[in-house]
Amino acid sequence: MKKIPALLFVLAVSSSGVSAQTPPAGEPAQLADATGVANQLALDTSQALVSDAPLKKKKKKKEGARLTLANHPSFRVGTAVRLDFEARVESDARTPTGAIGLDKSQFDVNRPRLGVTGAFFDKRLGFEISRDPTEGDGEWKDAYVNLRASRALELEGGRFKVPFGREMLTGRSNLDFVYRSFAAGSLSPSRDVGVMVHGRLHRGDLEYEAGYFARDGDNARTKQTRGAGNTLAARIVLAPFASRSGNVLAPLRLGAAAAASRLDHQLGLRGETVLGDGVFFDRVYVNGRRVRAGVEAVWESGPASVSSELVSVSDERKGMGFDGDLPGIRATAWYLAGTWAMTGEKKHGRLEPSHGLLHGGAVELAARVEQLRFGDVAYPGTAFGFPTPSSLIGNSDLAATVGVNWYLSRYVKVQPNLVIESIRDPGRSPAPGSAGRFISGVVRFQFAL
Amino acid sequence: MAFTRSFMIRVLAAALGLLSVYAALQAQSTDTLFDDTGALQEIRFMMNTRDWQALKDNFELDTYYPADLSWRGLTVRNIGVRSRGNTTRNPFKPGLRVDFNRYLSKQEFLGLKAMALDNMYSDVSLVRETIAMKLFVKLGFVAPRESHARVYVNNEYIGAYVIIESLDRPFISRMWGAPEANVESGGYLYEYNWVRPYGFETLGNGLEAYAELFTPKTRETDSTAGLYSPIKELIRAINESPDDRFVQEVEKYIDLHQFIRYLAVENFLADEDGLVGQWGLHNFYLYRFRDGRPWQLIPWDKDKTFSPPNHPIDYQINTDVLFVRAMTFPELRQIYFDALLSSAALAEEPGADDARGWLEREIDREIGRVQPALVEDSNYPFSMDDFDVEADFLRQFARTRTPFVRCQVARATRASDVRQTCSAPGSRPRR
Repeated sequence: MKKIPALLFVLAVSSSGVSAQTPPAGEPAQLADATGVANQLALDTSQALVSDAPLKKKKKKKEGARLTLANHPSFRVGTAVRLDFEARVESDARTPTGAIGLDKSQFDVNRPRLGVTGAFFDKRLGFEISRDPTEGDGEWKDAYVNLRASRALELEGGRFKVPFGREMLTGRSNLDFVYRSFAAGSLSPSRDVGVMVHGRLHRGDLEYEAGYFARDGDNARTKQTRGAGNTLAARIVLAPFASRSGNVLAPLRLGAAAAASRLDHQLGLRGETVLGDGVFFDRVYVNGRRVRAGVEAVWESGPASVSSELVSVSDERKGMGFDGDLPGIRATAWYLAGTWAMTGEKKHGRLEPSHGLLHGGAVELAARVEQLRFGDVAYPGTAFGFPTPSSLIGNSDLAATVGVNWYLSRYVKVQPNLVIESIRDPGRSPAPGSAGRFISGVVRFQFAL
Repeated sequence: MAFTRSFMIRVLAAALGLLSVYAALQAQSTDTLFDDTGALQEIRFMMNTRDWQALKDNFELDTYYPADLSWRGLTVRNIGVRSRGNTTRNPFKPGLRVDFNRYLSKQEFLGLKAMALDNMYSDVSLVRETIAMKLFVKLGFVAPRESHARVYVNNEYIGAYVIIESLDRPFISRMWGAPEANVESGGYLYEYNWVRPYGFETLGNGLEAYAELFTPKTRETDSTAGLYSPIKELIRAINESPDDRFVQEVEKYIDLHQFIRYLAVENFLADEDGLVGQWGLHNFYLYRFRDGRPWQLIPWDKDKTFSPPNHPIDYQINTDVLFVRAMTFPELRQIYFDALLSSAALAEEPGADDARGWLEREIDREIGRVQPALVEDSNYPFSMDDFDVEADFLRQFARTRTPFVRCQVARATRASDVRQTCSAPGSRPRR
């Protein structure tokens, strides 16, 4: 709670003065997010596409050492050295939800994040480190180096996001909703330690990433569960109509990803409601191979965007029954989301407000419908009463989220979201008294430097 | 200025008030919930009247219903309540299982994820279970905490119950530390499931027979081999190991000394429904440590203790393979007798200002506490005359059981004249 005054101060300062600043020509408008330098480069490129005016006036870069405060504090020595300092602070206010017994509003200050992104020798060598400064012995969020032979071939090593899932690879500051989708937050891996090759071909119309990771990401484990190990993951994204300038499908990007991991007599995935109040499908022990598969599509044009993903995960249960293998556990999640910038800004991740706060900043409407579904589980113990058979029947959560993204400045975003959920088995939902249906309201205040 | 001073005083008073409420709430803990020295605990449920009626109508089902629970100013919303029990299930005063995290996965109540409200429908006194568990704890065993409570549903008094700590991961964490309670790699906790008279005889190679008897309460969906192969190996060791390696082989799995001492306490308490009760193995949990320590027994459902005081100390031991074989070893027999004598010594331990033994004093104290709650309990299935008779019987048990046990131990160890007759009342109270 001590962080609240600081947050309010930051809100006030950023909305009053800093927002008037514009990025110097040729500089990225966004911080590199946790997807790594590859994604930072993607933003560089796309920024050039959407911000044609600054490009035309591109100035020759200064060669000497300098400190800039444009998007975020940045130290540079020509093109040889560049260090960007990043920070994010945010808090969530949650409205009461009577259906689940939440009678009072809740106010949480989320974990802050500090980080440094660096690039040396004309981006031949890059790195990022970031972590929660309040977490004394916690893991680093990101800690990796990136070696670039060419745009087509780069090598990344350290702790970073496993290449799987469009939304999961999107930085938290750039999300269109307060909470990640089921496809991203529940079934995609997130960060882990590993090595990856990646690159861009055909002027960025084709991207690839492939790597090996020690485990299968933060999303697959908790403080008490290990998650899978030995993960091989690959993702490919292409823009099949990019060359057809002016075609409505030109901005369409399609992708596919797959990952395979090894499970060793451990607990599998579980189904949690959007805000994490309830578990509608509990973990069961699994053993063998975990396979993830996902497809994705995103279309961004002018102030509008549409995106969708379909992700499935299947876990084997080798040798776990009285007579050998048990049927695997299967989970599937999908979402369809759309955004529209009412104030006309071009959509590419986080909006760049065309107007200052006094003129309302930038306002974007966002909506998403999604589902997370787990299949039935067969377990021989049910013949003897454990677990109760009803706890092993498949279950699903169908959720719709509507929200507004109000960018007070390039740094400050206010996100009110309304989440409507319906769980198929009300007895395993947080709202058994309202047939498994409930509505949650949350507002996020975010400052991202 | 006066306004300012008055305002400041009000603010200060409000702050102090809030501080005292906060301090009071902070002071609440499971120690307070299971504290049975003051007035009876008071548990209040608020739930949909149709749900409450449905729970009573379907008392044989384990269907959960949402409710709110209040205790000492604390309210836990949206918890799950269902009917519980085996032979004591009934539609008038249903035993209740309370799951605090049934619907809200992170919700706890004083660190508990669940607890039971036992209607003690077969115990006229309502104190057998609580006193038995106290004796186990005093003798160094791990056992659930318990206390009596008045229970209300929608502000209607439904009767006197016993709050019983759930044997689950919070319990394991409290007894053996957080790593043992790890949701994925913690220890294995089993509840013994009575299906027929059984005494550790060989069950064959198929694991299904073991699954029928040992219901996992942690790691429920683990591989059947992970759950049951070690139990199968234990039972094989009990039945097949040669005499000269019996102790060594069995102690690879269980804490044999703890098992024998546990049996002694049950028999001191004249438990008719324990390890070697009338119906074979019954009413215990088995805990398999994750770190390889020998497994232990945890007592459960002790409402059939305090049978007639002349309950023999070797009652039904010959029906159980483990104990038959164990008792052939003099050092293990001695452990058994020593544990019986320790139980007796504790039972007759005088108070600071009361010459009566601990057991008699405790019976008197608990009888005195629950009696007023039972007088008002219209769902109590006995009369208060029955209660008084039962109370007298328990006092008599406390006075006569100890000399009887000492006598039988002396005879068994030939410390006294083997012709000596050990006597104690052998009948149940007449109602």
